[in-house]
Amino acid sequence: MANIEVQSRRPLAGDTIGEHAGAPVWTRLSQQFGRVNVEGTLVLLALVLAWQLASLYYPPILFPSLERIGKALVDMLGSATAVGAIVTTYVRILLALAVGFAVATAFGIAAGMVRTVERATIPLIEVMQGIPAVCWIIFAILWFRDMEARTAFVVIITTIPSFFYQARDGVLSISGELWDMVRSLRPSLAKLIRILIVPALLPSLLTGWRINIGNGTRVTIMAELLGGVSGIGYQLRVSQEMFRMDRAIAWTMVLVAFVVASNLALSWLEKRILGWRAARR
Amino acid sequence: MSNAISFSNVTKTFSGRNAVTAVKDLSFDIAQGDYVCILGRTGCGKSTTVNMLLGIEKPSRGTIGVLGLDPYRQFNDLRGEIGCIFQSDRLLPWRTAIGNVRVPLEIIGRAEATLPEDAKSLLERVGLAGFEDAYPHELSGGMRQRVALARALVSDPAVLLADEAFSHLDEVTGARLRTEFRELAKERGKTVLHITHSIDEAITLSDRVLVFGRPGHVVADLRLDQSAGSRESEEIRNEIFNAIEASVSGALAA
Repeated sequence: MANIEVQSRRPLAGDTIGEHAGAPVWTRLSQQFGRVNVEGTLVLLALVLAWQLASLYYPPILFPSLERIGKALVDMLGSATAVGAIVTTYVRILLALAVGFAVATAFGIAAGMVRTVERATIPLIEVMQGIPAVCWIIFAILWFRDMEARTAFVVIITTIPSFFYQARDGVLSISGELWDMVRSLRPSLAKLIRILIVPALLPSLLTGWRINIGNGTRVTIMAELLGGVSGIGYQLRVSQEMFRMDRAIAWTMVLVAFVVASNLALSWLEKRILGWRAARR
Repeated sequence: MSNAISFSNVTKTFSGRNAVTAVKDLSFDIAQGDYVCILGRTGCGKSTTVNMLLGIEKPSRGTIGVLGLDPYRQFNDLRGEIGCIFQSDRLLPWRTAIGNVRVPLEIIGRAEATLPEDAKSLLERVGLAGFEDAYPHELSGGMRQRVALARALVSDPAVLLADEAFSHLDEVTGARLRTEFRELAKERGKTVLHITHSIDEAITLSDRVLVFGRPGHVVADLRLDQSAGSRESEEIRNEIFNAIEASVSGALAA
């Protein structure tokens, strides 16, 4: 009855061994090591090596040795105060991001669907986007006595614009054909959101999280650094006041690890819920 | 027999800097169980007619009835009663074939057990057994259109609309799908309004052909006998062709 044919998967770069024959040695090495980014790893290793060399010629207050940084990191992770600071900072970041995400996504979806909402919200979002994070931190220090309220306010307010735009643009980029198809089936608003809008928005929303995890981390650390009495930002200020570059580097490594781990978690989530998109590439 | 679809003096004008009247004083009725094709040149308001029937465009003037209800004003009352196959498949790329077929059921909140055929059986009927879990990008154009056909039928709607649904497929696949579509519609007693550019398609499939002039209005209303011989078909073909040509000449003279 049916004329069945299945489209074969498009060949991916690297499907064929020897495809890069004649390519630079780095690319061939990259092929050998599979998914490891050899070029990027070599650049990072060179930076680490340069740092270690610098530590031989400059005092530890400027360039502490790798051994010294490692020891500071181990000491730090073994202390309850440091673990408390890490937990405090990340709970602050994630809770504030969740609130910013919920508020901005709701308004972004509404703006994408209703022109009046878009016209009402865009100028406000543009003003918010134009105010530098450091100004928001100053406002927060003046407005709120409570440290948690200060940090949450700053993270929420600075992440709203990108979450908002990701959601609004995601809604606007849904094809008119899909809108008409689903609308012609007469769904309720809740079903329209569940069946069409949320699945169509997922790639944009995940991108929003990728952008804002980094933003949220930076802003939280700044807020803690400038007006905090707890968290990683506060610990960084203490390190600076004590001229402990090794500890400052160790804290920075913890922050980088958080952002990298968050991105890995998002990539895992992306593979699970956007598998259809990956397979199409 | 009562009318499943009725248009009475319907006009649709799209406002804007260059206001365009897509449909003007359009009137016709379609009896329940009829298979009617609308033929006409590009820009004669065929797709606007479909959009007004679906309730996603509001007529500027006149009244439209689908099963006695106004599809725009009584939008929700017609939930599950109209199935539509569009020119492109319009499948949701994040859903599998069976997930796409189930979209209307999720919207009307109807359990598959209460249906004459569930989503899986319908996919089998349209020749896609074994492809239930395939994503749209893993299927060919013809297969995707079959999924769209199953999606249009799954809620067991009383009225089926096909908007140039088979025009972009290759000749063999298109002919097969057309025949299957007609068989399924007739077997289930559906009222079908089929928009097409092809005179041959209209003659092969329909009980009646409405020829549209520009802006959308009926210039010829021809009843067909599917058991007629090739000579009668040829006569009908010429009659349709002349009606379209007359509408073009009329439009040019105006």
